[in-house]
Formats: sequence, structure tokens, C-alpha cells
Amino acid sequence: MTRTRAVWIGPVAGLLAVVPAAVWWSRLPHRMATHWDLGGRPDGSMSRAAAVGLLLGVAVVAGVASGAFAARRSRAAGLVGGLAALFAWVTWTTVLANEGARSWRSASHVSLVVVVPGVVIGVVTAVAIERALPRRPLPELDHPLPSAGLRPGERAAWSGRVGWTPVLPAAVALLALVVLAFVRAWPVVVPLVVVAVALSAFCPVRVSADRRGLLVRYGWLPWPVTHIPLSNILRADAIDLQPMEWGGWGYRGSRRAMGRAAVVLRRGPAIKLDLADGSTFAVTVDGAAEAAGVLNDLRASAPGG
Amino acid sequence: MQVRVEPSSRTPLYRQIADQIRGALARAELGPGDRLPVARDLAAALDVNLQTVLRAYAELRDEGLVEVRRRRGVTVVASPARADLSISARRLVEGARRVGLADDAIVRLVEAHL
Repeated sequence: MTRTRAVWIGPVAGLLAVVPAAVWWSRLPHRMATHWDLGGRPDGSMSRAAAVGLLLGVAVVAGVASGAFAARRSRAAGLVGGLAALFAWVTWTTVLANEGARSWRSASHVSLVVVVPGVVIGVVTAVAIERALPRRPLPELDHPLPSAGLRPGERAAWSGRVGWTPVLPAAVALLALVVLAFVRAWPVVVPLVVVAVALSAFCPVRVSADRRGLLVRYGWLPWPVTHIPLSNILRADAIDLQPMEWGGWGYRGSRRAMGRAAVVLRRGPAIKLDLADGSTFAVTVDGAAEAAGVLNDLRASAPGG
Repeated sequence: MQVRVEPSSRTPLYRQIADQIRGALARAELGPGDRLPVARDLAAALDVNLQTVLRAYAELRDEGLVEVRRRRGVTVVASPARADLSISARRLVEGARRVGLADDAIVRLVEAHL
């Protein structure tokens, strides 16, 4: 159902460009205005066939490509489909501006603001396709899914912290001391101290896994918190995380923009979550297998899970 | 550390929580200096009343396993061996009750071994 929708949105958006071209073709001047200056006056033209062909071509090709991407469950479907919708909008506005004009110079004035609704339509289309896009099935695990052996009706709260000493803030503080020992370069020392304090404030990363899902808290401040609700978790696994495979240390990646993110404070055991929105989240923590087991068991026993 | 409770069990919830934490301390999952989860957070995680968790923490404090400080939370002070001893004491009392000893008789029993 949603798969068909994801496949059709892009082509339909692109084909919408055909409507104005077909309806008003005979009422368009032989040379069409295709560019307007900042004051809204037409200042560039193309032959009717080239202008309509180009706009229509991009919209239709992008639309069909979006459908093809969607059929292959590729995430590119959204972006390309949004482009098709944007070009369909540009086709409509260009044709309507030229419709009934005797020459391209007498085409209607078009302000730059006209681009705004086009971009909005493009973004809405892209999001709609992305939402309707079916997710790739999760790859099979080569080991049994971690379980904590939770009995039905039993509740569990797992909490842990990252087995990590504040090496980074200590190193920065040491650097500040070294600088201070040789030169009284306060403009250098003060920012270093500030960085050391800021880093240590985020230091003890605490992780909890329970009926609320996964919660990652940084330092002893109430904010920021990473919260992944249980209902968004498809599968929890324990992995041996290699920082270089995740982009290094710290908070790496972005769930929204890159489809994966990780809180990496050391190499080794980490909880890895496959989420319902198609993204992946990982956090390095001691006892990752136990935490993953708790999440899997709670998920299995959750109502509707 | 993992805390599990079973609401349908005959053991009161606060005792289940205290038992689980004692076990975690005895297994050295948490050691001296480590902090227990914030009571409010653990209550939310287990979907139990805050008072239930506070009662469990108070029991652990009375046994000398943790230290409760305002604002600084609950800190573990007992070694794994010390936590294990607490578990033995708990078992001794339960065993004594099972054979019908009254509380003062249990105290006398322990005194006799001193």
C-alpha cells in the first residue's frame, strides 16, 4: 500500500508539468520569457519548444527517476521527487506568465517570491515520499538476539555508565598548565580551561534501558538527553564498536541527516539499536549485552510489540 | 546494574528492589564511590511509586551499604564482600523465622556466636 504510494508520488508530481504545457501550448509566444530580473520584468527568453521541453523534461525525468528509486527502496527517491515537484511548479508559473502574450517582452511580471511556494511544494513532496518509503528489512543477525530472560509481567530497569576516565578534559587542563608554566598567555589559557570544564561537564555518560526505552544522559546536567522510545526500537544488539567505523570519538553522525549516530567514548562493547524510522543508534557502555537484552525483552512484552 | 521487580510476587516491591541492588553490589557491578540511580528515575523506569524506591534505599542505608546525601544522591560505600554479608544476614533472619524463632531469639542466637 505505502510502497505503491511511494512509487507514484514522484512521477505524478513530475507529470503535473504536462498539464499547463498541453492546455496553453497554442497560446504561448514563439519565444517565451524564461528569466525575470529582480524587479520582476522579463529579461531572458528561449524558443517555445526549448523552454517547455526543458522544464517539462526535467520534471518528468526527475519524477520517473524518483519512482524508480522508490521501487528500489532508495532514500534518493524523496530528494529527486521533490525536485520533480519543484520543476512542475516552475513549468506552471512560466507557462501562465507567458500565456496570451504576443512576445516574450510582454509576458507577465514575475517576482522572485514565486519560488517560495515551489520550494515548499518540493519539500512537502520529498517528505511525503520519504515517509511512504518502505524500510529495508533488517539484515539477519549471525547470533541469537540478546535476551535478559525477562519473564512476562516482570519489570526491569537497567542502568550503566561508560567505563571511561575523563582523559580528554584532563589532557586539555594539562595543556593549559603547560602553557601557563612557560608563558603567562592568558588569552590561550582561559579558553583551554573553559573547554576542559565544558568537556568534563559532559563526562560521565549515563545510560538507562527500561520501559521508557533508551535514555542517554551526558554529565550531571539535566540537559541534553538522548531519548529513544521503546516503540521506536525494532531491535537491540550488543556490538564490539570500533570508533573509526563510526567517525571517531564523541557524538558522531546524525540520525536524521545521515541515518545513523553514535555516542563513542571508547572502543568495545556498545548497544546498537535498529530503529523504526530506518536509522541506527549506538552508545558505548559496559554491560551492553545485558542492556540490549532488557530492551528486546521489554519490547517483546510491550502492548502491541 | 539491572533491577527487576515482579508486581505479582508476594515479596513487597521495595524489598525486591533492595534485594536486587544488594545482589549487584555483591557481584561488584557497583563498587564504593559509584552512585545508585536517582530514586525518581528508578521509580519511573520500574513504574513504581517514588516512596517504594526511597524505602528500598533507606533499607540499604540502614544496613550500611550506601550513604544517602542531600543533593549528592545515593553513593555505594560497601565492598562486594560487605554486601554479600548483608545478603547472608537477610537469609539468616528468613531462615530463623521459618523455624519459628521470635525476633529476640534471633538476636540471642547471633550474640551467642560473638
